[in-house]
Amino acid sequence: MKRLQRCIRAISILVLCAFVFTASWFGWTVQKQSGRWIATSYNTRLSAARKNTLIGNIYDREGMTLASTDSEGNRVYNDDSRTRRAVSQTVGDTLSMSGTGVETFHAATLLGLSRGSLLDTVMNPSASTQGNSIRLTISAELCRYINKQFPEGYNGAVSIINYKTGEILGMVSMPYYDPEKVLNRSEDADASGSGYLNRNTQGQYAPGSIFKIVTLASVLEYLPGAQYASYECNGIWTYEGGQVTCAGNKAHGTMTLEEAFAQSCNVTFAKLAYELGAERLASTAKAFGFNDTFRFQDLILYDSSMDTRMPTIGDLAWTGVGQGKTLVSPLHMAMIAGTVANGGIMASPKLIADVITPSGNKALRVPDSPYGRAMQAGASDIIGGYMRTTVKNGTAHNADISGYTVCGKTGSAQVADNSDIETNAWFTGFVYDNEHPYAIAVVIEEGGSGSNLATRLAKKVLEKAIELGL
Amino acid sequence: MYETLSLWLRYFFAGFAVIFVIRAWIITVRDNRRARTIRSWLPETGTIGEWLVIAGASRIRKGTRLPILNEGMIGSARRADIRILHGDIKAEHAYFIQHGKGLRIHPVMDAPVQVEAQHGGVFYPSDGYVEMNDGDILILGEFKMVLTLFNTGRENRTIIVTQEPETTDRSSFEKSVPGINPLDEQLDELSKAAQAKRRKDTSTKTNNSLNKKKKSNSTSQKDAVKLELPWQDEEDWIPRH
Amino acid sequence: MARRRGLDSKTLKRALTRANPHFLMVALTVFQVTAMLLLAFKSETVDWQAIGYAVFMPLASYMILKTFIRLWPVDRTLVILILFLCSVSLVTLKDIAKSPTTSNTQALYMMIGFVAMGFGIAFSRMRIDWRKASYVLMALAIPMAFSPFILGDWQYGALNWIELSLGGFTITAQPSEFVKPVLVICLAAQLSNHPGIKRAIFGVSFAAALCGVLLLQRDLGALLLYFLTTVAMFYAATSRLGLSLTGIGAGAACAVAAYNFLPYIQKRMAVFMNPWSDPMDSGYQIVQALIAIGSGGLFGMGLGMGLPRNIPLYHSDLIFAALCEEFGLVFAVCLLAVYALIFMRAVSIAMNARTSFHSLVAFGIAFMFALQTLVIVGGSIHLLPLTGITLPLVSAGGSSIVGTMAGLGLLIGVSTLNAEAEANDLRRMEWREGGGI
Repeated sequence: MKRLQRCIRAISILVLCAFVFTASWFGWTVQKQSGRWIATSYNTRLSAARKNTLIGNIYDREGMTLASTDSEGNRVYNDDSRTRRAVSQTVGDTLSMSGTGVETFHAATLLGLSRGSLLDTVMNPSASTQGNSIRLTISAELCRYINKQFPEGYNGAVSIINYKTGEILGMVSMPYYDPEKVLNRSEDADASGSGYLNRNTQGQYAPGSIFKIVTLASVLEYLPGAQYASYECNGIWTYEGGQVTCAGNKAHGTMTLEEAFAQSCNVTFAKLAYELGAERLASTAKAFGFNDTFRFQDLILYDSSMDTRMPTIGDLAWTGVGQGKTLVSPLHMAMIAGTVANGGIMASPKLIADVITPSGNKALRVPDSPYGRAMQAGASDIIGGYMRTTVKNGTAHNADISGYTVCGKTGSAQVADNSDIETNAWFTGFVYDNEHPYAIAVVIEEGGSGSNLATRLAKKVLEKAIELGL
Repeated sequence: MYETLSLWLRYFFAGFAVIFVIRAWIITVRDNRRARTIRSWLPETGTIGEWLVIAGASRIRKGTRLPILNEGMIGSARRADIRILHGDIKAEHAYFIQHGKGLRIHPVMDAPVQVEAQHGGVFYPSDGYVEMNDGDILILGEFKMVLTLFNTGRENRTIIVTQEPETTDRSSFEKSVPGINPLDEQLDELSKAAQAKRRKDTSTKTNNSLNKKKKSNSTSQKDAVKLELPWQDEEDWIPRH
Repeated sequence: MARRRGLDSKTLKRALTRANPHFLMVALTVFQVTAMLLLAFKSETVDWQAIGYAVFMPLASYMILKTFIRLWPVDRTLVILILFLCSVSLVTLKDIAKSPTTSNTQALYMMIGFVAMGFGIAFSRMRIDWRKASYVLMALAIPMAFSPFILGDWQYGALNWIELSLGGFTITAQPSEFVKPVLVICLAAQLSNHPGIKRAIFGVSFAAALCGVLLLQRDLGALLLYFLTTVAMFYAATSRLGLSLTGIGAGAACAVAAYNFLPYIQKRMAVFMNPWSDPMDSGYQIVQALIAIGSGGLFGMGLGMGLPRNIPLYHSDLIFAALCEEFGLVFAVCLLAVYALIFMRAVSIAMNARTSFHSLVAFGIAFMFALQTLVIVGGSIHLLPLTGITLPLVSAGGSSIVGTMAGLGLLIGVSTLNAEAEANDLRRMEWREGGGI
């Protein structure tokens, strides 16, 4: 009997552990993920609640009202049309045309759907209740400036974040749309067809040469001594089944690793990627967040992906220089640049600064913990140094701001084999300064070479951010 | 109006649920503690009899009583229900189970098991088991024990107790659960008697163990009232197999 | 002989007093009355059905409790916990069901269930040769398991329902629910008293046969329950860890094989991995369930305030999601705790049982109950794939209620045997002390 009792006890402890695990997983998931669940358009409760509830306001970082409800119950956006359009995809709209906007993703909070505060229920017992207001981390003025400075006629995205805290300071996606016109059911609300898309979080682009940051990180981790070797480039590297060329078939000659990075030498990095091999390169990319499922509290960020198998040499080589099947979003790229600046630790992106209850108090929020450590601090210092050289003497010289340490990397990503179609222009970088810890990523579709349009825009945006003292 | 009420009652329902669960948890813990207390204070709980050691050596003293459960295992392993630390006893020596009015012993593999019946004869296991009844001696190698079963319903084992009010009626079982009212006075007397007896020399008890049956007849029949336990006369309330 | 530590009557009495569940009963009554009265005023006109429930539920609970106490020395707290689950079920169904008759049928089935519980108690107390009886039960179980092939039809992708027409009434029932307690009894009978390896294999093969039938009927949820309960009881009875783990391994291998060969299982797993990819069709169930759970937040939306009719099968399989929405996270976790408490009490009943047969019966019922809860709650919160089983006692479903209550009746029956034996022992202690020294 004792034997029987012992077995029973063992199994029952297992079952009780299962209960405890289920209950805690349940509690944890609901706390973390419920915002995401309710925010879909399949939730019929939202449209029902919108009729009865006073939706909360949305403010920017400095307190400027981006969205509010007027006395008749209509939703009103910012008066200034440029501001309104600049933050359009970030703020979203009540009809969920922009699916990832704050109006939709945080609808539950804005509608006060899961009211936890006893005080509020007591204070506002009437049937038409009031939702919470949200103060975002973005600066409307900065976004307005970006929208104004963005090159006419091009599509693209600009993300600028605070790399220490992960706060998103500006997120502008072009083309824009006008939420006011959406409310008026106006025909030309979305002038150019893809204005509802937030290219920063939903857009997935081939990174091009800016991916060399990741390749470089992988080299520093797995190939010791590579920093001290010298590299030959005569413009073309032929391997079995194809070749890798540098931009314009330019031969860079003999260089150090730093120079190869600053000049964005494809041949060198293709060879290095080949030396690393698929497994090691993929492992570093994974540490940076590629192929992971992003689940951030504040916003939806589409996953960045990379082919981890890379069976042929060509796959490896081209992935090493940022082509191949790799796709990344501009916000993720800004986070990667921020990781270099932040000693190798990637902060999680934050969009919400405060949630303010109807009674005026700040609701308790537990922010996301940092995403993770992508590399050692020593490696990030080296990469940061190389990126500084790129701005001082390399392809990104257009981004240099006097008096500040600007570091960056340019990229020109091919989008098609047809050489008639221009490459996407990329710039990603950061300002290495404790007072102004900004990391930025700019992509201009079909913008040509990265060192031109993208870098110049990035310089202007960074200067404005420094001026605003965010 | 309804909405306000419903919203306020949310907190009430949640609070109710928490209080309910906490109270039920406390009750469960207390019940488990109670069961453990009973088991530790009265190790014969669950027993249907006992073995009395009459020939052992070294570690087990002659006269030790080992309680028997309805079924269990005899051996020297720690997980044996009857743990006997003796050279001749194997780790898993034999299984026993109540069968009819006696016990059935199933030796494990070829462990030495014999039964010397009270009225003569030595029995060996056949078909994997050997039967033994109240009063028989179990021989495991050099080790010998006498079986005493509690509920055998023989005449000289009438169950006697001092005073017992009427609460043996099954339908009012609630009152007759131990610890509530009618047994309190008896428990007081019982415990005092036990404490008094404790101070006596315990070894004398064991020598007279075999004659205990006869003694209890004579001494306690004077002022005793025969107790009608509801299950007393039924042979065993334990289902047979 | 007996070890006594500072024995005096006061500590002894305190130690032996059973904790009193009166408070629980009162609290439960308050909950029932409050919830039902609240529901009565939900719509513009007073809902007399709800008021009827507000009166009927406390009365019925008291009557049931008193009846059981009067008949046998049952474990009162366990009965009250069961009554709590039944009350939650009635309240939730009254609130969210489209037709008012759903809660009435549920209440009716609960009454039938309590009668079945009584039968279960009486059945487990019988003093018969359980080994022989189990053969009879096995002979009964096999045709019951096969009956859906003859009498039933496919529903929700599984053939586990039968329809019986008796004089104008059509009753649908799920025979696999009734076979559950029978399986536990048969297994316990075969596996008790140190079974030899042959007998153990025989018991397990009977269970395997039932599992095979369920596989043909595509009732994957019940299959999982039967399989794991069998393995658990096998391990408990024989404590052969190696064989038990092999059994689990074999089951896992079969599952993997099934996954590779059967397309509908692949589809289920794909929906589980990413339900948001097809939220209008195959993922609809779990997506709506998650939305409902998320909407509830910590304290829920309030009784009568949610819109849970969007969840398919909201009254049976996914009733947990509807409960979360209206009552909130705190209440839902407490409900889970009640299930855990029932399991804990059942295990202590199994530990205190006097014979290995009763111990195994109690353990088998407890394990199956807990496992069922975990699987369906896990499915509702997207921890496990959804299976077609019900939340015991809370989901609507007559066969489920009656089957579960019959099983719990067996459990309570074992607890009555324990209580009687304990009283017996204590009495014997007294006369031994009083008369034998």
